[in-house]
Amino acid sequence: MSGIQTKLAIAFLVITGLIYVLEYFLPAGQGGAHLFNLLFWIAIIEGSIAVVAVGEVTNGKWVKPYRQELLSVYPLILLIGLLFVIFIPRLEYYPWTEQPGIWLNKNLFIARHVIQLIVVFFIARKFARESINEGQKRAFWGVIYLLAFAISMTGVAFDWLMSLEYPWFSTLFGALFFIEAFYCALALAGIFSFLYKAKFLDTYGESFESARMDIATLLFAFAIFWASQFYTQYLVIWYGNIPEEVSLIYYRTIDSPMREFFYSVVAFNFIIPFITFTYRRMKANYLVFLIVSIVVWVGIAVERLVIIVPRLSINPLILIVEFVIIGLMMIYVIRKRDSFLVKST
Amino acid sequence: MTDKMTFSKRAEFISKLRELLESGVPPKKLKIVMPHPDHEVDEIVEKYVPPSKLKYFTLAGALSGFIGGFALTIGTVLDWPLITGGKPLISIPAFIVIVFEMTILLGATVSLLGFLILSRLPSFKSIISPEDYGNEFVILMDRRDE
Repeated sequence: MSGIQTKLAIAFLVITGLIYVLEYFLPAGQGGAHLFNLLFWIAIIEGSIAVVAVGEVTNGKWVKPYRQELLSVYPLILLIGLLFVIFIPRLEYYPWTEQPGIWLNKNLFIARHVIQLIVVFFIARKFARESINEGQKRAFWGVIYLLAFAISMTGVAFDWLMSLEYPWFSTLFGALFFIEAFYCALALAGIFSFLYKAKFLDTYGESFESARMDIATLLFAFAIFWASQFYTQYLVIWYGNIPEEVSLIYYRTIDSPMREFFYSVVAFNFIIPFITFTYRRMKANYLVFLIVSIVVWVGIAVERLVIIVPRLSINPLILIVEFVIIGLMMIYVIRKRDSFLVKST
Repeated sequence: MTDKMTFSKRAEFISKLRELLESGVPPKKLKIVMPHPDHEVDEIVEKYVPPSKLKYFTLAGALSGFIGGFALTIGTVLDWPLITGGKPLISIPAFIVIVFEMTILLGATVSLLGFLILSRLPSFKSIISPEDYGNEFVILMDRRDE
């Protein structure tokens, strides 16, 4: 193990310990904060690598300036794995644990997600190394990663989040979830554009400007894509009007302020990015790009909260502390990217 | 009277084109013939020409589609009332899909028409050049005073 690997391993264990203490020795409710952070960060982490994988598979020039920064988050999949392990006692709050079925039973649930996270981590690591070294097989590993990403995100959506609402289910939910992961990762690239502007311009010159515009256009496209997925989900529930199906929307639109939060998701994830990025001048502005990226993150965060809150209680203070801890870890990993993700000579 | 400047190298052609435009020659007086499309030429020329009016065609088409979509759905259910799934006759969530499709359809179709009108196409005279320049990059400059 190299120095940085040891440091990361220790940091991951410390963070896991810290979050364990926060969750189980303080009044953390039913673990809603823990689940929120798992769902929010896994989307950004796995989505970031997926964005690079799409760029590699399609031979897109737009991904080149962002490649190292986006790929550098891959070790955090292990942190998510560790945080998932300490989430296991919270599974008792899932409604299906009272009558376990073939798919939704505790042992299979734990086994498939632990295996899934380990497999995704190793594929992401292999792909990141191939991509950074511009290896011959980077497109191949890109495809493998994208398959693993789609399966992993769908599994997370169905099991971690959708099964909270059991017996409600929707086959569209997995697709919405992995589109959101990709959307979040594009927003992360927008944040990088602002933070590393000088470095990117210095290294890539004019081609960075072109790549940045492409990322902004993709973010605009994903705002529409997200809206279509969200609306499709809403439409089938509205049409069917079946008691098991309407519960998802009914319990989230019946009372204030949950109703306002629910509708604000559409504003954050669709209306604001769509209207702002309709204008070319707005897309070209670094600060506007940063603000829209943060708005998208806020939208995704609010959506997760709106789904979790009616089912699992949340301690807001613990939620913020855990969010900041994982966020700081992410910043640390990105800043140390040159220690573990460099071109081998 | 037309001046003909022929270049076999792209870099020389680009540099001359830039020089002409920077010296104040109106883009209207220039005609460019290239063996292949080149985005850099678009980028150079677009600084000297007013923005395209194509977006107004798109907006007009999209708005017509949006209004037409609502008119079609609401008009047909009122003309032949059939209650479906116990929903009200005028059910906006269901109509949104038709409205969206109509917006895209008319927006795209009118954009294509606008493109053809603004580019003065189809113009067979422009497609088939009386002279064949082969692999050369050519700038034709109209010397006549307006």
